[in-house]
Amino acid sequence: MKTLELVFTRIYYDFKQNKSVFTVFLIGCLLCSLSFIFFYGNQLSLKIYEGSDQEVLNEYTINFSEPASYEDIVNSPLIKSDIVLDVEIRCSLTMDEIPKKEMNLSEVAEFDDGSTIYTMSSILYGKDELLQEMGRVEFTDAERKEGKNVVILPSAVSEGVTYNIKTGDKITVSGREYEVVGMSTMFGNFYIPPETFKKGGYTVDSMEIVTSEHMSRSEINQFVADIQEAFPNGVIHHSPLEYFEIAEQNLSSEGFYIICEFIVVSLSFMFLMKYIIDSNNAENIIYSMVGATKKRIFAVIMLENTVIYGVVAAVACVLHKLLYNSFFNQINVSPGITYTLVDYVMIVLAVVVLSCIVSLPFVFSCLKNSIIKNKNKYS
Amino acid sequence: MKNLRLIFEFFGRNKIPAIIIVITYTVVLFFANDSFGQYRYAAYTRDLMKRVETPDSLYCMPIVSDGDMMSSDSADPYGDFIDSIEEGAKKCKAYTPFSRTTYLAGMFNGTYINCDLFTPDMVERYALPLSGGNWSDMNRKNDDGCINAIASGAFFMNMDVGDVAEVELNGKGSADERTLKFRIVGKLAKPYAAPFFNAAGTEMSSRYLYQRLDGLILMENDELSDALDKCGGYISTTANFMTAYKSGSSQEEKDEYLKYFEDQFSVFTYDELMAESNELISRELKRRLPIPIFLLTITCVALLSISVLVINKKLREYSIYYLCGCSRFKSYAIISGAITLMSLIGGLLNIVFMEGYYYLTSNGFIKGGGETIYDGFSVLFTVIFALVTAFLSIAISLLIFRKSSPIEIYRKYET
Amino acid sequence: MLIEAEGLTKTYKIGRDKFVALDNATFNIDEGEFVAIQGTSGAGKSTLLHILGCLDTADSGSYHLGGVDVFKLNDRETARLRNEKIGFVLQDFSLINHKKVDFNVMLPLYFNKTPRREMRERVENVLDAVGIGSQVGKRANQLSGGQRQRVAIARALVNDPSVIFADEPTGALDSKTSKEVMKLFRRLNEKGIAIVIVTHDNAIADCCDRKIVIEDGKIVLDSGRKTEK
Repeated sequence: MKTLELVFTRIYYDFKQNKSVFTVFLIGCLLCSLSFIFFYGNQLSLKIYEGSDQEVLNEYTINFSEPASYEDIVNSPLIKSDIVLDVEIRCSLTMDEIPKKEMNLSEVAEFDDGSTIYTMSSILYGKDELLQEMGRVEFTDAERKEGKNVVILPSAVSEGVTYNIKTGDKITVSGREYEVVGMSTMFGNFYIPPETFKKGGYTVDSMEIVTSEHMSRSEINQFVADIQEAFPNGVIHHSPLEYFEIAEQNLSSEGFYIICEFIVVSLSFMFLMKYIIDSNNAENIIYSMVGATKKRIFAVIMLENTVIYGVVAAVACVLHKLLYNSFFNQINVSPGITYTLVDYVMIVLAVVVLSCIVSLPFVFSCLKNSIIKNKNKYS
Repeated sequence: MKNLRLIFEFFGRNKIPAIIIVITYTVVLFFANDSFGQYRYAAYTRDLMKRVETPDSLYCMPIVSDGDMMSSDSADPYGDFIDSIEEGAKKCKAYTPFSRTTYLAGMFNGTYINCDLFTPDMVERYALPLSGGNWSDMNRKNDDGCINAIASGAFFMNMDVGDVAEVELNGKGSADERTLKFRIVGKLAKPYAAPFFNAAGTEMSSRYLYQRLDGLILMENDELSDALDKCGGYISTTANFMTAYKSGSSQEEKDEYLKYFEDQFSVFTYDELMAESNELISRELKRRLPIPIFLLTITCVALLSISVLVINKKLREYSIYYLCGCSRFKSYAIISGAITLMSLIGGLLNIVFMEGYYYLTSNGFIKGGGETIYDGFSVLFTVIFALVTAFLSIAISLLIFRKSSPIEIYRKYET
Repeated sequence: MLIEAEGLTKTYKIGRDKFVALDNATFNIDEGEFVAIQGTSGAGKSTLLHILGCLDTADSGSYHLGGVDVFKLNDRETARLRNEKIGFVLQDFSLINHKKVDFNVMLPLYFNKTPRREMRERVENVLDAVGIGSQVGKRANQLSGGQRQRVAIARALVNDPSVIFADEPTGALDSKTSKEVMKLFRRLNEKGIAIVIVTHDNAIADCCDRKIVIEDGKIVLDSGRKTEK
């Protein structure tokens, strides 16, 4: 209590003695804290992913250990739920099923089970859009309804040195003849209408679910559990959780960069801190003369630092929260970044700890000498 | 000299913080100029596209059909392929002649340059901004056999309108046959962006339709054709091209025309290009600008803080100067000079770099794609920022300095 | 007449109260005089010295230095006067402690038109005159009190002033050093420079030719110029 009282008196004295320097120092601390808050939200992948609306964070890939039927998928309550935007079902093609000649593919890699990277795919609801390389990449209502034998080619076709397929041509894939309507940017996927997929008797070896809205981590966990319940034979090959796991792994390196950035930003104001520490040296000498140990003086100085930075960081957090929607959200690099109370508490603690670390060299430099040496130096 | 010494004395024992501030100031200002420059480039190309293209324009990308394009044995397979596409397109009622970008490489003063070939229609339609000369002089007749050209880029920085440049073109003939003389009738303005239809992708915007040109722009005419024939110049065509719906075409005719291309490769309509360009600019704005502005604010406060700090430390010293006959006005002048010096150094270094940027990147001394604008506006911004930060720092420092008279300060330190 | 002061009055506000530091001070000092302004602590000696040295202005009265009405001058003109006509020697030496001796002595030359090439020569001359030429390369905070005071005197001399104002110049020195400093002042006075010393010390005041005694801001005694030394 007495120490705290001493600290507050010193801070008040610092302000009274050097109003201008102290004010500029506080502004500098505020800017450093705000920059730390900004970097925290915009550079930690974990924070970015939490608010991101990137499509990859809405995609779940499920591989089936035993092929599922078209009906199993389409009739599943999970697939019919509102949370699912669309589903892409895929049937792996073997070497014999691919039109190698027309695609002019000299080599096709084959897996142990005889499958290749090429699949016969179908997008159930037509909401997940493909990107066009040639022709059209959407089926007409009639083609979807009637299950016409039309196909959108994979872009692997255009990777060949020469190729002979144009829109309107007919090609045979897995023993069936299809009319080419276009080519998408997907490398290995032939796309056909859902009804055609069903009529063709294709089984589902894998599927990709795209959700309609961004989910929090806990919601993602729940959804993954729902998928596993709905499809006991399905193995989640990919889900947004992977990104969160990678983000967690990268937390320490990203945190390190943020710390470095904070130090660089605060570099411009460090000498102000030094000036304020130095200006108290005469007082520190008197403390020593009346019996305070170096450890005690060190504690007082660090506590002074902690209080100043702690208060300023807290003010920065309050300012950030109040002005978030009107200003700070507009300058976020990634959309949807949110800050919880836990985030703000961590930021305040981090700023305080970092500022203490940054001030250590200055504090040590004035405490390392003897009382007499300091008296001669600073009086 | 004496005054300069007094200005440097201002920093006294605070030289290292001052140096840190100057370095930080310079780097932050450079970073800000680079970010603003990239944003301005994106906006520049969008505005350029708005000016030269029409809402009926189509950007066609046969490059995705690379296989067929490369099947020709000629020296210009892309050109041949586009010719074949154009033959087919002529059957459509909404057809208009294609705009394609052709070029040939050459050597000027020991450096490789590109010479873009514009059709007369392109010369008239594009009329890219010039820093000197004018496009109409491309049609001027020369008695000395020189071919008119528009110069672009850092390699021609030291040449004026009217000068003659000798360029050895790549081709079949001998070196003498391939060396042609070009009279510079104009110089392209920064950022030296000229149309270049080589880019393709799923997110095409105006930024990818133009590329920095370090070379010449030539107009296709009989004179040039003769000269190129004689020297056997290797002309290449970029993989993609622009076309447009014929004015007055009906919707069916337009749909037919579009389908003709879409059946074979990717196409971007003008509206799609513009939407993508606006999206890019808005993204650039959001992504690039906040951090530099934030850092500029911090730098401004940092400059202010070191000024305030030094003033506080120097008060006693300035009271001694006063004893020795230095007027208050002179003290203000010394302080102002010292503070201005800090921002001036940062500003000058930036201006020097920006002026030399195109030269440095063209010659490969530094990496740079050229998708940034450094021009008079950048310089003006740098000067204004340096002056504003200096002014703020001086104003606040002098307010502190004026607060106490020298005698009050002397008394304070005496006791 | 070098200094003509008439009816100088200076009042300070301390909170709500007014404190009259100088009350109607009137006196003259001729060229080459050696004057002590004596008084107890708080008598108004330093206030008078600051006004005479153009560091401060009086609330009323007039002051002529070398025939120039000082109160009518602007800041630039008074600064020029301080630079060319006046030298200051103060109790705390008023040196820039971390700078070398030559810079400290050279400082007044930065504020006039003395060419750069001449500055060093003048500095060396004055340092030799005060007997401290060998210390030229040292920093001020590396010198003893007496040496620092000599440096301050050298700085006061570098522009050939008409008058040197010294405020308790021996206050921080031991008696032996004080005597040496006073001997130096005497030598300078013999060369024609007027010396005005503010002191509370009788021994120091006795070294001067004339005493002006101040009490509660009023001049209570002016011994006048000694006709014989």
